[in-house]
Amino acid sequence: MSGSRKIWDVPTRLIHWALVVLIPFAWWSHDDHMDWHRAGGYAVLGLLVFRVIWGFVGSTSSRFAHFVRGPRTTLAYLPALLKRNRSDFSGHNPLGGWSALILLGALISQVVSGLFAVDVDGLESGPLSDRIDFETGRLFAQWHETSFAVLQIVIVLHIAAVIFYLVYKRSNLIRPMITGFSASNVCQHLMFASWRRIGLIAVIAASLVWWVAAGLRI
Amino acid sequence: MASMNFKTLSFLFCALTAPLVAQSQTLTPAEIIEQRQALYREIGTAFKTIRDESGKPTPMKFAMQNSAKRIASALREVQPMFPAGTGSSSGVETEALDAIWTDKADFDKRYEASIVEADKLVALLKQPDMEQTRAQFKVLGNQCKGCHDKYRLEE
Repeated sequence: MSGSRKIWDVPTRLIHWALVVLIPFAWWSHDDHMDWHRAGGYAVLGLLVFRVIWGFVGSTSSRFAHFVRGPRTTLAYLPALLKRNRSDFSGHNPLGGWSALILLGALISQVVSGLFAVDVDGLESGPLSDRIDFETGRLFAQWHETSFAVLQIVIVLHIAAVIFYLVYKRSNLIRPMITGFSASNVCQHLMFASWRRIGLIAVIAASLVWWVAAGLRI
Repeated sequence: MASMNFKTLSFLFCALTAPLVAQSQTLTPAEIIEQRQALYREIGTAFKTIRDESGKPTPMKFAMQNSAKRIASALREVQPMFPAGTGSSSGVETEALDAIWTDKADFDKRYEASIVEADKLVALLKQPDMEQTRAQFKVLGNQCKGCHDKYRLEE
């Protein structure tokens, strides 16, 4: 495939699409299926823990150091938004990098608030809510709700941006996130982490989630 | 005192109890709603305590028993606190839906049922078996939820 190179590794792509499924699932289940809601939350927590660690030790394109750019670089990229052609980056462009961070932050806020939330009846609550009293748990529940409003906005903006890139800039960002390959010609060496490393980080993330689900009691 | 006739006695009775009656009748809808919500927050706190304890390896039975007793007594306290005019028509912010008053018979029946289940929980907590307690806790929770689904404003 000339002009087509691998950008995104398997874990990054899997995590992205798993979240696309888990977030609506968690929203749907919160009404009458709190067991499922908790399971979904734990799954998201595990994926987030993995992704954050991966941002430091994962494949090059997934590392924060690779795609989070400073204000000068980000501002310098802005004029390229209006150009009707694709820009070439080995992964996120500077704006995309920041939006990925914002999305991650919104998700972390959503999950962490849920760990301590208590519902209005005191019947359903997160795994760490026994550390706090009822009124504080109610505050966490309100945070959990507000956080979801923010998350929805950020997700809508994300989807709008992807569509903008597809239609206006003629740059398909969806296919690379599925196949891992992009029609990018940037001459930059990308390292892809081994399956052993993937396995190790996955075990760490799963262990942490198991511990949290047990209320931080071994 | 033996010579006091019935008229005097009844006058004295009314004079002494009138202030008490007058006071309970001057509770505004806002005050009733506020007291209602405070009692429900107590019930919520009590539910949380029972739930927290039952999840621990060594639950504090004493705390659970106190909480269960509080739920049963608070439910009884709240029961008469839904007089007409304390819903959306009161102008005060409340989650009590108008269905409570249009369907009062069903509301009262469900309330009675929740008190019965709460009393069962209190009784079960006197026994050492935690499994039955946990099961009854779920039953009580579902009883509460059934009423809330119909009569309380969804958040």
